[in-house]
Amino acid sequence: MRLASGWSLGWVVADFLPGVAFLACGTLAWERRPDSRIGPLMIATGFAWYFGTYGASPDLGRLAYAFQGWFLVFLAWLVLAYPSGHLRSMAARLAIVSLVALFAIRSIVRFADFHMSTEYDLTIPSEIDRYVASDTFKANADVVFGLLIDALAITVLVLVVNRLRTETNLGRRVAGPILLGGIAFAIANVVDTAALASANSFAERIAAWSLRDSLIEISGALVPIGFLVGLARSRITRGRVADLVVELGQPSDDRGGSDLEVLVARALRDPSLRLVHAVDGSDRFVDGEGVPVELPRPDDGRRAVTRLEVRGRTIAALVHDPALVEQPELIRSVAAAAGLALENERLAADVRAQLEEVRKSRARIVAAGDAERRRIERDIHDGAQQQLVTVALLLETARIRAADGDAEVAATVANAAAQLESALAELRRLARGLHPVVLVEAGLRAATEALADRTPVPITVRVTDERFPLELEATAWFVVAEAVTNAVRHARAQTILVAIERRQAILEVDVVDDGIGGAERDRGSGLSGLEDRVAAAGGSLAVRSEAGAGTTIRAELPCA
Amino acid sequence: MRVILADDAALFREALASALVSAGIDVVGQAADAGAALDLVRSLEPDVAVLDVRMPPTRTTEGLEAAGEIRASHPSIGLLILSQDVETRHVLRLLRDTPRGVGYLLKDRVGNLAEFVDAIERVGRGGSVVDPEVVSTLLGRGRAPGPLDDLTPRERQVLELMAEGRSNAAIGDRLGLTERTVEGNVRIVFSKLQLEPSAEDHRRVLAVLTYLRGD
Repeated sequence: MRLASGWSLGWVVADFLPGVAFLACGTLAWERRPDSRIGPLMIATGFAWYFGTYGASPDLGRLAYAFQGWFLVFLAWLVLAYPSGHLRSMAARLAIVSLVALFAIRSIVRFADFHMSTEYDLTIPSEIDRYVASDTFKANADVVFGLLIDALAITVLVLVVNRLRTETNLGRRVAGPILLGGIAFAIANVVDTAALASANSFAERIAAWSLRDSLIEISGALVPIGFLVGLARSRITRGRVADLVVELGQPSDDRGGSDLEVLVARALRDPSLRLVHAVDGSDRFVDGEGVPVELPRPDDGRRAVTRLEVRGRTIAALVHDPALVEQPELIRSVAAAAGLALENERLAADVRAQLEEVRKSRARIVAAGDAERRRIERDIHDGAQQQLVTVALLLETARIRAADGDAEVAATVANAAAQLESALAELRRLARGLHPVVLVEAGLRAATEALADRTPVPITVRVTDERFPLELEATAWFVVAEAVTNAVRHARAQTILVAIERRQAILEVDVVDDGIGGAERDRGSGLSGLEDRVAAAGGSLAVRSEAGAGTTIRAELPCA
Repeated sequence: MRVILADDAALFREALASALVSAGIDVVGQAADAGAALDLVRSLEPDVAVLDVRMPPTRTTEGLEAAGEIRASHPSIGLLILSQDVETRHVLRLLRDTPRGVGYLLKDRVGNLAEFVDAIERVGRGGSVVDPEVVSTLLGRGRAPGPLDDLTPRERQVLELMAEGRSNAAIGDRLGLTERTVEGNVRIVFSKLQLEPSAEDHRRVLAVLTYLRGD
């Protein structure tokens, strides 16, 4: 199909499409990051693409002529500011300011000097140039503007190439395609000017225009394509958030020991990423080794910071490649996942620390209880018992003296002595129950044998002669004494076996009887107290007591 | 009978000394700890040393250790150990280490001065004294049915008194039997328990106690 003056439909479509592509990509970018300039810049580029190309009336034609080429300004701005939306270097800012100034002057000049012939065919964009070219002064002015624009285009080209060269891998991944598009476009423009300047005849100019148009159309389309490629790449990366969350859900042993920093760096494809931890309640940060770390400032172009916040409190920060800022959802998701993982780790560590503290405090309470029993036993022994024995002696002396006198007095004294004797026996029993001296003095074997002496049920003693720390012996003894008492009192045992043996770092305490069985932990049989006591020593208690099958109690106590 | 007393409870020691003196015992010295007791033994060479088990500094078995040392340096001195509770293994250790002239009594026994004085005198003469509580504890020990169940009540009484370290004559006095009858009972007890008959009183004490403990 052919339109007026022989322009093909293909040409129109080729001329039309890049603008639409810019508008579409710009809308997409704006939607993704409303706070970024990238979206508006792309849309502006898209609109500017059509300026100077289509003018449907003389007035519109004047405007189109005046603003023709602004496309270049927005494109250069877009390419230099991509992906953050900010012009990072002073050179880039200068280049853009110069471009804007140059085009502004050019637009004013063009707006003022626009004259349109009535026979001008508005459907053919290049006619504008043809018209201008027919006027030598204006043609010369346009060539001057063109040279200045080319100089700036070369500057932009140099800046873009430089960025591409110095960009991190990650940055190149994201911004690379669009930068390449920018380079292609800048080259196309320079080629265009060169072709125009070297054209000697009108025919050659027409040829140069054609070449320029083709180059610009092709390269102009490259930038939105580059944007889409960069976007697609970042979307692929986003799938890694899911992987990260899965990985974080596993125990750290299953992750091959990789710590959070490695996992996050992998998920974000940024090997330079560092995870730093906030020092409680302050804005200071430390690395994994606790070395203080200074966060890069917000205007630092080489490093960016994302804070990990849990319930409004910064617990850590990711120091990463600024290119990641271009993928806000990605970094936000990763930061959220990492924040949760960190908070989990912190909570788990808290719980572990508290458990350890509880275990220690339980052991301390038990040890304090034992010490208190020893102290009371000693007090009874050295105090009350000693004094009562003295009283017994004095009563005996009195009894002997009274024997020749008042028989009633003698009988009373004898009665008192008998009462005292049973009180002393009771006190002995009490002291022995509080704390068996033999245990501290001679160990578990001797204590078990002494227990066997006083137990009406025969006890087979198979107990190691080895000595253990005071608390451990006390716990093992508690198990033996309690289990034997149960066997005698409740189980109606005929024989009892007490075996204590050390296996590596475990002291095994077994008390086996042949009684009626059926012992239950929660029936006040003392078994629950036993369990508490064993747990306080960090050990475990197993009770097997089926009705009619005797009772087996086994405690396993950790020993160094 | 020349006696020294070693006990860190001064009040009890003084009271015991005066009671013993009034009962005709010559208390030649008193000590508050094992070291002082050993010094007294060396300087006074008494017939009997009465020692509390728990004495400073550790209040565990200082009296037993002192007894061992006295026996090693002065074998003829009788040793009477006083304890506030019965520790069977202490008794057996004493009897094994120092078979002659040794005794082990609960402190409470001072409540019967005549018996107590008798114990000192027996120990002083080379006899053995074992607290009845030790014997009854061991007899009450759980054991599988065996020869002990075959003893008649009389034989059992003889066994108990024998275990307390009493001589046949003393057992006879206690039970209203002739010494010869007691001798016969002792023989039967030994044969029923399948123990080697032993002529010496102090040896049969250890044999009987060891048997009762089931060792």
